[in-house]
Amino acid sequence: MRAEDLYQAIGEAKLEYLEETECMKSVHSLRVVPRGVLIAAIVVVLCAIAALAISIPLREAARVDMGVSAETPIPEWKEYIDIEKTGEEQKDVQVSLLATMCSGDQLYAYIAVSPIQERIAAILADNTSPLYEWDLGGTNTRNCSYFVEQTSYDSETQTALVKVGVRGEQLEQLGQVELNLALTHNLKEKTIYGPVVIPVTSSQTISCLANVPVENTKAHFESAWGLRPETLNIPDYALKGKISRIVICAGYIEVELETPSLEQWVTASNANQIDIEDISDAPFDMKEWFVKRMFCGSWQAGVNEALQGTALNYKDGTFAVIDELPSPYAGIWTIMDGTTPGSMYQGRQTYRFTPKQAFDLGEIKSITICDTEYSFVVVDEIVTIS
Amino acid sequence: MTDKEIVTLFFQRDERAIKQAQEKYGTYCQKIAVQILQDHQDCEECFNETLLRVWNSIPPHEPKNLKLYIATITRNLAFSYYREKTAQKRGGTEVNLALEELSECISSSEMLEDTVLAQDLGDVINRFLATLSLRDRNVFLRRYFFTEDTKDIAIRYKLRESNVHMILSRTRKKLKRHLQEEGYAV
Repeated sequence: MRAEDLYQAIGEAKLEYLEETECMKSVHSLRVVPRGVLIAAIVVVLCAIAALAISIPLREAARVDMGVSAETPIPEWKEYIDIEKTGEEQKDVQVSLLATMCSGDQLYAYIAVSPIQERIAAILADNTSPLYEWDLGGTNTRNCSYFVEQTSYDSETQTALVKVGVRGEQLEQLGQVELNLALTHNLKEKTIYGPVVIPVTSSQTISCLANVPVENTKAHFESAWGLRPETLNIPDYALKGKISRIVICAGYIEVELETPSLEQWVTASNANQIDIEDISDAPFDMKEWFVKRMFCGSWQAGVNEALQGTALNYKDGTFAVIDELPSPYAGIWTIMDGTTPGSMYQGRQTYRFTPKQAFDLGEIKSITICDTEYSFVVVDEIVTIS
Repeated sequence: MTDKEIVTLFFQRDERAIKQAQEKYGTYCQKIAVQILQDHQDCEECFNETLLRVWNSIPPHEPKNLKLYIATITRNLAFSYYREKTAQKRGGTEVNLALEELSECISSSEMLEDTVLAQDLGDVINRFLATLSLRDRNVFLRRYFFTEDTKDIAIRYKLRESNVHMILSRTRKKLKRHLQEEGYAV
C-alpha cells in the first residue's frame, strides 16, 4: 500500500463527516465572544453541572444516558458496586465500574472516576476541547474499536461518569475487557486511571423471518457511482433481492439481505465494461476493486430505499420510526462485514442500525417495513465464554 | 442565490446554474485544487471540469450540501490530475506534504499481498473515522481530505498549530494501528 492509496481512500469519506468539519467552526467561534461573557457562561455551566450532579446520582445518570429504567431494567443492563467515599478517601484515585450493557458484539461501560476537579470536569463535559480529554490508556483487546466520553459529573464527590463503548466480533469469546482510562492534558497523558475489568455478559436477541423486496437498478448503480469523474454508461437492468431476516439486540437492529451474486450482478449491469481511470502502477486490480465497491454500494442504495419509513411497534401500541431515532448514524443502515470473507459477493449481506439508547426487547412487538408488519417470535440468548 | 435555488436551476437545465455555482464556490474550490495542484492554470482547468461534471450529475443526483458536493468532485478530480502529473514532476506542494505524512502509516511501498484486503480501503477509512472524536476527525479530514495546511486548520478550530500537529500525529498512529487490525500489511 502507498500513501497515495490512503489519500485516495480518504476521498471516500462520508458526506456527514465532511459536513461536521464545517459545523465545528461555529462551535469554536464561541471563543471569540468577549471574555466577560465567556467567563459568565463558564460560571453558569459550572453551576448547572453542580446542580445536575447533586440532583442526579451518577448511576441514575448512566441509566438516563442509556435510556434504562431503574424500576424495570432490561436484562442486558448490569449494575455494580456502589461508590461511597468520605473524607480522606476522596483524595485517593478511585475508579469503579458502575454499570454495563452488552449487546452482541457491543459493550458499553459506565465508569466512575475521581477525584476530578470541577474546572477540569467542565471542560471534559464538552468532549471537544484538547485542553482536557478522556482517552483509552491501554487495553487487553485487539481488533476492537473504542470511544470514551464523559457523560456526567458529581461535584460533591468530585467524581466523573465516563462512558466507554467497545465493539469487536471477538468480545463474546473474551469474557472480560480490561482497560485503563487516560486523562490527557493538551493531548499528553496526564493521569492514568485503572485498570478496570469489565465483564462481557450475555445478551438477548429477538428475530423474525421476513420477505422484504429490495431492488438493484441502474439508478442504484448511478447512486453508488456518485461523484466519480469517469463517465458511466450502463444498461437498464433490474435485479431483485430480499431482506430475509431481522434481528434486534438491545444495542442495534440488523437485517440480512439475500441478493444475486457479484457475478450475476456484473452480467446484468455490464459493470465489467465500465471504463475507469487506468492506473498502471496500482498495487491491486483497480477495476475489480471498483466493481466490487459498486456492487455493495448499489445494494446499499436499494436497502436504504426499501427501509425508508421502517418503524418499530411496541406492545403498548406506540411506534418509533427507526431513522428518526437518535443515533450516531441517524437514518443510515451501515453495511457490516460478511460473516465469512467474500460472503457478501456470494449474495449475503448484513446491515445494521445503531441507536443512541438501548432497546427494551421485552417491549417490542413487531417491525413494519413497506407496509408489512413482521412479528418477533424467536428469542435467543447470546452466551459469553468466561 | 441559495444552494437550493442553484440546484433547481441545474434540474431545469438552466445554464445560469453553472455561472451561479462558479460565482459562489469558485474561490472555495480553487483553494482546494491549488493545495493539490499548485498551478493556477491546472486549477482553472480542474474547476471547469468540475462544473461540467456537476452539470452532468445534477440531475439525477440531488445533493443535500452543494458546497461539499462540488468540493468533493474538485478534490478527487484534482487528485486524478495530480496522479497524471506526478510522473512528470514532483514539488513541495501541500498534497506532497500530506502524502509524506500519510506514509508514516505504512512502512513500505510494496504491493498488497492479498487483493481482497485492498478492495475495501474506503470502507476501512470510514470505519476508522467513526472511531475518532469529533475534533480529531475534523482535523484529520481538513488535512487529508481538503489538504489544508496546519496553520489554516489551527485558525479554523482555534487551536495552536502545535496542537494540530499533535492531533494529526496521534491520529496517524491510530490509523496505522487500525490498518494493521483490519489486516493490511503496513
